Amino acid sequence: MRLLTLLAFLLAGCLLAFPAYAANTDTASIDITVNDTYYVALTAGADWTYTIVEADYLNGYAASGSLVDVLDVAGNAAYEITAQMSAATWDAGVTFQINVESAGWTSLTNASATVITGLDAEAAGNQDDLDLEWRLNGITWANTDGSDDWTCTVTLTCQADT
Amino acid sequence: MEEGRRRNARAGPPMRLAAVALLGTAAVLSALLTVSLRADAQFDVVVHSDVVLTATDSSFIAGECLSLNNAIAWNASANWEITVRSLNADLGQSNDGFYTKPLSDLQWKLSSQSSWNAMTTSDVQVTTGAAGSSSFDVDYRFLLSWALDRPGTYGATIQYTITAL
Repeated sequence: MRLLTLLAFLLAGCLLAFPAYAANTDTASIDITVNDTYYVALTAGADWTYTIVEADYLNGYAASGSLVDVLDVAGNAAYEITAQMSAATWDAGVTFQINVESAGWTSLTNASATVITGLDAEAAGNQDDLDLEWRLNGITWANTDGSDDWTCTVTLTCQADT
Repeated sequence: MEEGRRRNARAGPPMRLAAVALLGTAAVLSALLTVSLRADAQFDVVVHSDVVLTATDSSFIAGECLSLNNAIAWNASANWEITVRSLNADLGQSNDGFYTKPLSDLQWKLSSQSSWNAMTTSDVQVTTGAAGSSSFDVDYRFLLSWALDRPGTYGATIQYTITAL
Protein backbone atom coordinates (compact mmCIF):
# COMPACT_ATOMS: atom_id res chain seq x y z
CA MET A 1 0.00 0.00 0.00
CA ARG A 2 2.75 2.37 0.92
CA LEU A 3 4.56 1.41 -2.27
CA LEU A 4 1.49 2.29 -4.28
CA THR A 5 1.18 5.55 -2.39
CA LEU A 6 4.80 6.30 -3.09
CA LEU A 7 4.39 5.50 -6.78
CA ALA A 8 1.30 7.68 -6.92
CA PHE A 9 3.14 10.61 -5.41
CA LEU A 10 6.10 10.11 -7.72
CA LEU A 11 3.78 9.93 -10.71
CA ALA A 12 1.99 13.03 -9.59
CA GLY A 13 5.34 14.69 -9.10
CA CYS A 14 6.41 13.77 -12.61
CA LEU A 15 3.17 15.01 -14.10
CA LEU A 16 3.39 18.27 -12.27
CA ALA A 17 7.09 18.63 -12.92
CA PHE A 18 6.71 18.15 -16.70
CA PRO A 19 3.34 19.62 -17.49
CA ALA A 20 2.13 20.63 -20.89
CA TYR A 21 2.36 24.41 -21.13
CA ALA A 22 -1.10 25.75 -20.59
CA ALA A 23 -2.43 28.42 -22.92
CA ASN A 24 -4.24 31.44 -21.65
CA THR A 25 -6.89 33.17 -23.68
CA ASP A 26 -8.99 36.29 -23.57
CA THR A 27 -11.58 37.65 -25.95
CA ALA A 28 -13.15 40.90 -27.09
CA SER A 29 -15.93 41.59 -29.51
CA ILE A 30 -15.34 43.93 -32.44
CA ASP A 31 -18.58 45.35 -33.81
CA ILE A 32 -19.63 47.94 -36.33
CA THR A 33 -23.08 49.31 -36.90
CA VAL A 34 -24.25 50.45 -40.28
CA ASN A 35 -27.25 52.53 -39.38
CA ASP A 36 -30.54 52.19 -41.11
CA THR A 37 -29.70 55.26 -43.07
CA TYR A 38 -29.15 55.93 -46.69
CA TYR A 39 -25.66 57.19 -47.20
CA VAL A 40 -24.71 59.41 -50.02
CA ALA A 41 -21.50 61.17 -50.72
CA LEU A 42 -20.68 64.02 -52.95
CA THR A 43 -17.20 64.73 -54.07
CA ALA A 44 -16.74 68.21 -55.34
CA GLY A 45 -14.91 68.80 -58.53
CA ALA A 46 -12.02 71.13 -59.00
CA ASP A 47 -12.52 74.85 -58.65
CA TRP A 48 -13.63 76.64 -61.75
CA THR A 49 -11.68 79.52 -63.08
CA TYR A 50 -13.13 81.24 -66.08
CA THR A 51 -12.15 84.26 -68.04
CA ILE A 52 -14.92 86.12 -69.76
CA VAL A 53 -14.23 86.58 -73.39
CA GLU A 54 -15.70 88.70 -76.12
CA ALA A 55 -18.06 85.96 -77.21
CA ASP A 56 -19.63 85.99 -73.75
CA TYR A 57 -20.45 89.65 -74.17
CA LEU A 58 -22.01 88.87 -77.48
CA ASN A 59 -24.03 86.02 -75.99
CA GLY A 60 -24.92 87.96 -72.87
CA TYR A 61 -23.75 85.19 -70.57
CA ALA A 62 -20.74 83.14 -69.58
CA ALA A 63 -21.17 79.43 -69.02
CA SER A 64 -19.26 76.33 -68.18
CA GLY A 65 -19.95 72.87 -66.87
CA SER A 66 -18.35 70.04 -65.09
CA LEU A 67 -19.14 66.71 -63.50
CA VAL A 68 -19.43 66.11 -59.81
CA ASP A 69 -19.30 62.55 -58.59
CA VAL A 70 -22.13 61.37 -56.42
CA LEU A 71 -22.02 58.07 -54.63
CA ASP A 72 -25.09 56.33 -53.37
CA VAL A 73 -25.46 53.36 -51.09
CA ALA A 74 -27.86 51.18 -49.18
CA GLY A 75 -30.97 50.83 -51.16
CA ASN A 76 -32.90 52.64 -53.80
CA ALA A 77 -32.53 56.14 -52.56
CA ALA A 78 -33.40 59.27 -54.38
CA TYR A 79 -31.27 62.13 -53.28
CA GLU A 80 -31.71 65.81 -53.21
CA ILE A 81 -29.18 68.44 -53.96
CA THR A 82 -29.05 71.58 -51.94
CA ALA A 83 -27.17 74.41 -53.52
CA GLN A 84 -26.16 77.51 -51.65
CA MET A 85 -24.10 80.36 -52.94
CA SER A 86 -21.86 82.44 -50.77
CA ALA A 87 -21.80 86.19 -51.02
CA ALA A 88 -20.67 86.91 -54.51
CA THR A 89 -18.92 89.90 -55.90
CA TRP A 90 -20.55 90.25 -59.27
CA ASP A 91 -21.46 93.58 -60.52
CA ALA A 92 -25.04 94.73 -60.38
CA GLY A 93 -27.09 93.17 -63.10
CA VAL A 94 -25.08 89.96 -63.20
CA THR A 95 -26.86 86.85 -61.94
CA PHE A 96 -25.72 83.32 -61.33
CA GLN A 97 -27.51 80.12 -62.24
CA ILE A 98 -26.77 76.44 -62.04
CA ASN A 99 -28.22 73.53 -63.93
CA VAL A 100 -28.06 70.17 -62.22
CA GLU A 101 -28.59 67.08 -64.34
CA SER A 102 -30.09 69.26 -67.07
CA ALA A 103 -33.15 69.73 -64.89
CA GLY A 104 -33.28 73.39 -65.73
CA TRP A 105 -31.55 76.57 -64.79
CA THR A 106 -31.97 77.68 -61.17
CA SER A 107 -30.97 81.10 -59.99
CA LEU A 108 -28.84 81.38 -56.90
CA THR A 109 -28.73 84.54 -54.92
CA ASN A 110 -26.42 85.57 -52.17
CA ALA A 111 -26.67 83.48 -49.04
CA SER A 112 -29.88 81.76 -50.09
CA ALA A 113 -30.28 78.07 -50.47
CA THR A 114 -32.00 76.42 -53.34
CA VAL A 115 -33.08 72.84 -52.87
CA ILE A 116 -33.20 70.77 -55.96
CA THR A 117 -34.89 67.45 -55.32
CA GLY A 118 -35.61 64.23 -57.15
CA LEU A 119 -32.79 64.54 -59.57
CA ASP A 120 -32.04 60.88 -59.78
CA ALA A 121 -32.59 57.51 -58.15
CA GLU A 122 -29.82 55.04 -57.88
CA ALA A 123 -29.75 51.41 -56.94
CA ALA A 124 -27.58 50.45 -53.99
CA GLY A 125 -23.98 50.98 -54.70
CA ASN A 126 -24.42 52.75 -57.98
CA GLN A 127 -22.15 55.63 -58.66
CA ASP A 128 -23.54 58.47 -60.62
CA ASP A 129 -21.78 61.38 -62.22
CA LEU A 130 -23.71 64.48 -61.41
CA ASP A 131 -23.78 66.81 -64.35
CA LEU A 132 -23.53 70.36 -63.13
CA GLU A 133 -23.30 73.51 -65.20
CA TRP A 134 -23.19 77.13 -64.18
CA ARG A 135 -24.02 80.28 -66.03
CA LEU A 136 -23.44 83.94 -65.42
CA ASN A 137 -26.13 86.07 -66.97
CA GLY A 138 -26.04 89.73 -67.62
CA ILE A 139 -22.63 89.85 -69.19
CA THR A 140 -23.13 93.02 -71.13
CA TRP A 141 -20.92 95.81 -72.22
CA ALA A 142 -22.66 98.04 -69.75
CA ASN A 143 -22.52 95.76 -66.70
CA THR A 144 -18.84 94.94 -66.75
CA ASP A 145 -15.95 97.23 -67.18
CA GLY A 146 -13.34 94.64 -68.09
CA SER A 147 -11.36 94.84 -64.90
CA ASP A 148 -13.50 92.76 -62.55
CA ASP A 149 -12.32 89.66 -60.71
CA TRP A 150 -15.44 87.94 -59.43
CA THR A 151 -15.52 85.04 -57.02
CA CYS A 152 -18.17 83.03 -55.27
CA THR A 153 -18.46 79.67 -53.64
CA VAL A 154 -21.36 77.36 -54.30
CA THR A 155 -21.91 74.71 -51.68
CA LEU A 156 -23.65 71.59 -52.86
CA THR A 157 -25.09 69.23 -50.31
CA CYS A 158 -26.21 65.79 -51.29
CA GLN A 159 -28.67 64.12 -48.98
CA ALA A 160 -30.56 60.89 -49.35
CA ASP A 161 -34.22 61.55 -49.88
CA THR A 162 -35.77 58.62 -48.10
CA MET B 1 22.28 -13.70 24.35
CA GLU B 2 20.11 -16.07 22.34
CA GLU B 3 17.11 -14.63 24.11
CA GLY B 4 18.22 -11.17 23.13
CA ARG B 5 18.52 -12.19 19.44
CA ARG B 6 15.05 -13.60 19.58
CA ARG B 7 13.79 -10.38 21.05
CA ASN B 8 15.57 -8.43 18.36
CA ALA B 9 14.19 -10.80 15.76
CA ARG B 10 10.73 -10.23 17.09
CA ALA B 11 11.33 -6.52 17.06
CA GLY B 12 12.64 -6.66 13.47
CA PRO B 13 9.46 -6.34 11.37
CA PRO B 14 8.13 -3.24 13.13
CA MET B 15 11.47 -1.54 12.65
CA ARG B 16 11.51 -2.35 8.92
CA LEU B 17 8.01 -1.03 8.57
CA ALA B 18 9.05 2.12 10.34
CA ALA B 19 11.99 2.43 7.97
CA VAL B 20 9.76 1.94 4.92
CA ALA B 21 7.31 4.45 6.31
CA LEU B 22 10.14 6.90 6.85
CA LEU B 23 11.44 6.24 3.35
CA GLY B 24 7.94 6.78 2.02
CA THR B 25 7.63 10.05 3.87
CA ALA B 26 10.98 11.14 2.56
CA ALA B 27 9.92 10.22 -0.96
CA VAL B 28 6.72 12.12 -0.58
CA LEU B 29 8.53 15.13 0.70
CA SER B 30 10.97 14.81 -2.14
CA ALA B 31 8.19 14.69 -4.67
CA LEU B 32 6.50 17.70 -3.19
CA LEU B 33 9.79 19.54 -3.20
CA THR B 34 10.26 18.69 -6.88
CA VAL B 35 6.84 20.10 -7.71
CA SER B 36 7.67 23.29 -5.93
CA LEU B 37 10.95 23.75 -7.74
CA ARG B 38 9.54 22.97 -11.18
CA ALA B 39 6.61 25.30 -11.08
CA ASP B 40 4.86 25.55 -14.43
CA ALA B 41 5.56 28.50 -16.67
CA GLN B 42 2.79 31.03 -16.31
CA PHE B 43 1.18 32.96 -19.14
CA ASP B 44 -1.54 35.51 -19.08
CA VAL B 45 -3.07 37.75 -21.69
CA VAL B 46 -5.63 40.49 -21.09
CA VAL B 47 -7.41 41.84 -24.13
CA HIS B 48 -8.77 45.35 -24.45
CA SER B 49 -12.43 46.03 -23.89
CA ASP B 50 -14.99 45.48 -26.60
CA VAL B 51 -14.76 47.70 -29.66
CA VAL B 52 -17.96 49.33 -30.90
CA LEU B 53 -17.88 51.38 -34.09
CA THR B 54 -20.49 53.17 -36.15
CA ALA B 55 -20.12 53.62 -39.86
CA THR B 56 -20.76 57.06 -41.24
CA ASP B 57 -20.85 58.46 -44.72
CA SER B 58 -17.22 59.45 -44.20
CA SER B 59 -16.44 55.83 -43.42
CA PHE B 60 -17.98 54.75 -46.69
CA ILE B 61 -16.10 57.41 -48.60
CA ALA B 62 -12.88 56.16 -47.02
CA GLY B 63 -13.94 52.57 -47.56
CA GLU B 64 -13.05 51.67 -44.01
CA CYS B 65 -13.80 52.29 -40.36
CA LEU B 66 -10.86 52.17 -37.97
CA SER B 67 -10.26 51.42 -34.32
CA LEU B 68 -6.68 52.19 -33.40
CA ASN B 69 -4.33 51.47 -30.50
CA ASN B 70 -6.23 48.80 -28.62
CA ALA B 71 -3.94 47.58 -25.84
CA ILE B 72 -3.28 43.92 -25.17
CA ALA B 73 -1.41 43.24 -21.94
CA TRP B 74 0.60 40.10 -21.33
CA ASN B 75 2.86 38.55 -18.76
CA ALA B 76 4.82 35.37 -19.08
CA SER B 77 7.49 33.45 -17.23
CA ALA B 78 8.94 31.98 -20.42
CA ASN B 79 9.25 32.81 -24.10
CA TRP B 80 5.80 33.22 -25.59
CA GLU B 81 3.73 33.89 -28.66
CA ILE B 82 0.32 35.43 -28.98
CA THR B 83 -2.08 34.36 -31.68
CA VAL B 84 -5.41 35.78 -32.76
CA ARG B 85 -8.45 34.27 -34.39
CA SER B 86 -12.13 34.87 -34.78
CA LEU B 87 -14.61 32.65 -33.03
CA ASN B 88 -17.13 33.47 -35.75
CA ALA B 89 -17.01 32.35 -39.35
CA ASP B 90 -18.46 35.62 -40.65
CA LEU B 91 -19.42 39.07 -39.40
CA GLY B 92 -23.13 38.42 -39.38
CA GLN B 93 -26.11 39.38 -41.48
CA SER B 94 -27.70 42.66 -42.37
CA ASN B 95 -30.90 43.64 -40.69
CA ASP B 96 -32.91 42.50 -43.68
CA GLY B 97 -31.03 39.20 -43.81
CA PHE B 98 -30.06 39.63 -47.43
CA TYR B 99 -26.38 40.20 -46.90
CA THR B 100 -23.74 38.36 -44.89
CA LYS B 101 -20.60 40.39 -44.31
CA PRO B 102 -17.52 38.21 -44.78
CA LEU B 103 -15.02 37.77 -41.99
CA SER B 104 -12.28 39.00 -44.30
CA ASP B 105 -13.83 42.48 -44.09
CA LEU B 106 -12.40 42.64 -40.57
CA GLN B 107 -8.67 43.23 -40.57
CA TRP B 108 -6.07 43.67 -37.87
CA LYS B 109 -2.47 44.71 -37.51
CA LEU B 110 0.01 45.65 -34.88
CA SER B 111 -0.22 49.39 -34.45
CA SER B 112 3.51 49.57 -35.01
CA GLN B 113 3.19 48.00 -38.44
CA SER B 114 1.65 49.14 -41.67
CA SER B 115 0.27 46.09 -43.41
CA TRP B 116 -3.16 44.73 -42.56
CA ASN B 117 -4.08 41.09 -42.05
CA ALA B 118 -7.47 39.61 -42.76
CA MET B 119 -9.07 38.03 -39.72
CA THR B 120 -9.47 34.27 -39.94
CA THR B 121 -10.88 31.50 -37.81
CA SER B 122 -7.42 29.94 -37.55
CA ASP B 123 -4.84 31.11 -35.07
CA VAL B 124 -2.40 33.53 -36.65
CA GLN B 125 0.70 34.69 -34.82
CA VAL B 126 0.49 38.30 -33.75
CA THR B 127 3.82 38.69 -32.03
CA THR B 128 6.35 36.91 -29.82
CA GLY B 129 8.51 37.83 -26.89
CA ALA B 130 10.64 36.78 -23.96
CA ALA B 131 9.59 36.36 -20.36
CA GLY B 132 8.36 39.48 -18.68
CA SER B 133 5.29 41.61 -18.79
CA SER B 134 4.21 44.48 -20.98
CA SER B 135 1.61 45.31 -23.61
CA PHE B 136 1.28 46.10 -27.27
CA ASP B 137 -1.36 47.83 -29.37
CA VAL B 138 -3.38 46.48 -32.23
CA ASP B 139 -5.53 48.23 -34.82
CA TYR B 140 -8.71 46.99 -36.41
CA ARG B 141 -10.53 48.07 -39.50
CA PHE B 142 -13.76 47.11 -41.14
CA LEU B 143 -13.77 47.33 -44.89
CA LEU B 144 -16.91 49.06 -46.15
CA SER B 145 -18.53 48.95 -49.54
CA TRP B 146 -21.12 51.25 -50.98
CA ALA B 147 -22.31 48.45 -53.17
CA LEU B 148 -22.55 45.64 -50.61
CA ASP B 149 -23.04 46.85 -47.07
CA ARG B 150 -26.59 47.21 -45.91
CA PRO B 151 -27.91 48.48 -42.59
CA GLY B 152 -27.06 46.15 -39.73
CA THR B 153 -24.65 45.41 -36.95
CA TYR B 154 -21.71 43.30 -37.94
CA GLY B 155 -18.92 41.91 -35.84
CA ALA B 156 -17.08 38.97 -34.37
CA THR B 157 -15.63 37.77 -31.12
CA ILE B 158 -11.87 37.84 -31.35
CA GLN B 159 -9.77 35.51 -29.23
CA TYR B 160 -6.16 36.10 -28.32
CA THR B 161 -4.13 33.17 -27.03
CA ILE B 162 -0.75 33.27 -25.34
CA THR B 163 1.32 30.10 -25.31
CA ALA B 164 4.90 29.04 -24.70
CA LEU B 165 7.23 29.00 -27.62
